[in-house]
Amino acid sequence: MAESFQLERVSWPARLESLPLVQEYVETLAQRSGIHGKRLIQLSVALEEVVVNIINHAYDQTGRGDILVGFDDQAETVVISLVDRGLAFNPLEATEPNVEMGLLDRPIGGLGIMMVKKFMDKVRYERHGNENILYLTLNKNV
Amino acid sequence: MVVLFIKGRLDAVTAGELEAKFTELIQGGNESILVSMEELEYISSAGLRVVLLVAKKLHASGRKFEFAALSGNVKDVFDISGFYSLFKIHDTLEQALSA
Repeated sequence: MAESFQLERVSWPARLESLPLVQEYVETLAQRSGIHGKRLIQLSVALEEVVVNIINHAYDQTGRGDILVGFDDQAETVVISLVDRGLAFNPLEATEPNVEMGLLDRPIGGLGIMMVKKFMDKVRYERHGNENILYLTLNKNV
Repeated sequence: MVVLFIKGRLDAVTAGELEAKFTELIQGGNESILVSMEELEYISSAGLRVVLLVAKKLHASGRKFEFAALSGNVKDVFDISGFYSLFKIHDTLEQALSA
């Protein structure tokens, strides 16, 4: 696993304008690796949820920072890493929303990370040095 | 009943625009709202957030809020989020209008 840190990463400022650029970059590479149709849209949604999370929460203290994106084409999977250099935070530990709750009791947020978990084949968090790294894995032959 | 057709991508970039449109509809009348999603190809949690906000407002004023013609990603996202048990969702726009 250690070699994955050597992969080339591309960075964008953690701002909403970067979202379509991150999506386009990753989706172009994913298509080349054989991810198509519905899986590509699910990847797009997962990317949005993670990127928006970073924009809204990672750099609260300083107000600005970057999102770094890595793409690793492996034999049977593609692994996308989304990185920020904010305070240590594992989004996978957030409480799962109760989707059976009625309208009046329903909180407005909390559904984003749930979709990332549902749509990706594997999601893993690591804190490495000053970086929060979220690895999204998609199986190629689904 | 007002029918609102939304198409394309409902994401963090466009959700604000839709929220403004709904606010206009809510303040400008007293009708129920039906949203046709036949040409909506993408929705994220930013879109669901707008749907929930609007639903709560309409519910408070006793107006109906229904959906029609969901497909693909939109259907999956509504399903995962439990929206099928929160809202009246019609298979087609025709069914919704004749209901």
